[in-house]
Amino acid sequence: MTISLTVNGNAHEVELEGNETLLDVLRALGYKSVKYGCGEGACGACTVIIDGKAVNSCLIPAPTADGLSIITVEDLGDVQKLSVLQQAFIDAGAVQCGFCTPGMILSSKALLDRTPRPTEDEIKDALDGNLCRCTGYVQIIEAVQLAAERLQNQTA
Amino acid sequence: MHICKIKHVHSVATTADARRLLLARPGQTGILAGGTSTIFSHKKELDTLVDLRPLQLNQIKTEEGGLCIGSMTCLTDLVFADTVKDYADGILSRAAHRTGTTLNRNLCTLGGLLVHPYIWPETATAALALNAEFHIYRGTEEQVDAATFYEQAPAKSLPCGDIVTDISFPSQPASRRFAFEKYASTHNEFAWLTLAVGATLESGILHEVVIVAGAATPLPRRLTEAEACLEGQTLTQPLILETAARAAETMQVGRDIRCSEQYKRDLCAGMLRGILEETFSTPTTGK
Repeated sequence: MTISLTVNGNAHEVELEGNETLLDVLRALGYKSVKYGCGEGACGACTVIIDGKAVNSCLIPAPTADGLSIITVEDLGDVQKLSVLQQAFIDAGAVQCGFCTPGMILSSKALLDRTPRPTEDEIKDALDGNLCRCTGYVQIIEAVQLAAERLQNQTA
Repeated sequence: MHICKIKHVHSVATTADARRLLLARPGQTGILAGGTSTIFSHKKELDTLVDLRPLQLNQIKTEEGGLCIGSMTCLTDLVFADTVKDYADGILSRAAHRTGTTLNRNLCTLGGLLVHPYIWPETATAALALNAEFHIYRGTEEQVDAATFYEQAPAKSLPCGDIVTDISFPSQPASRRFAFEKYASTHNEFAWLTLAVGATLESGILHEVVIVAGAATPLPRRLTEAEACLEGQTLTQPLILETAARAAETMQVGRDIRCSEQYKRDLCAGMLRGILEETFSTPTTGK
């Protein structure tokens, strides 16, 4: 079967075997920021944004992704021009091995898009599905707070 | 993980169309709501999905003081909706919030979890305590209360072709209080035990007591002998201890690799004692 989907504004048509997940499809299309971690919705390394909500792409059967519009971290910025969130993660020292970082950033983006001034509890809640084995989370929470502050200053 | 090889996804315009497709190839055709149950399905023969998303079964409506929630409403929407937070001391919202992670809650639907309560029993526990009604399309609309629905495995309560369209939660009097608790070793872990308690408190007397345990057995179960201890009584510390002991003693407990049966019984006693002391020992303030 063939599905059509939009990733970061780019339209794709994909031929499927039928037993792939959205994660498999995104990686095959070259969106390598979307990581395979646990494959069962526990670690958040495969996080993408669909309809404004951060979701586990490993839990979405690819045949059901027809017509979806998906955002991965590649959409936020690149090495030449990082987004406010990406820069905040660097400045706060919230990155170590980097494997979880795309998922962390997308969960943070979904939170800040909905709640521009989140409390610490709201940040913890939004990131509760993203596991990090390196940093201990403190700097990640600080990075989201820093990004929220900078985004507020931009709009002020 | 085994993932079904899906060959066809049919988008439907009506529940009647969905039912027709499900009945055309029983066993090989499944329902697509949030999608997670498809990923975890062990049905190797499943090759066709009926996509219910166009039916827009994701509305949260207030109805005669209660709620009517579309079966495809994702849990995150239950967590944030003021109408759900304000209903029945917020136990449905709280149960939804204690289910999985934010990423899971953004995908999982209320209907999906009530029909498959085995991994995440939180909302099913609350639904049974709230006397929810399942609106099921079987060629015609039928309503089945949660107690009847959970008498047997949902696969038996829902023969092929049946579709849960909405779940209604009845109006609750102001004198009725509810509490929900979950125990797990971390915030997001699968529940070791969930408890939902409801009771009407009038002039210090408890009536219509409902105590539901989830995660002790595959389906949520009422602890009727513990309920009987409280019925028509004024809550006292000895009564709380007696009720907690009765609940622990009579609760059915299935095998759980994470803890012994006795541990789960002790957990039940401790959690119920806490709920009764915190929620039902103070004067009613109304809603």
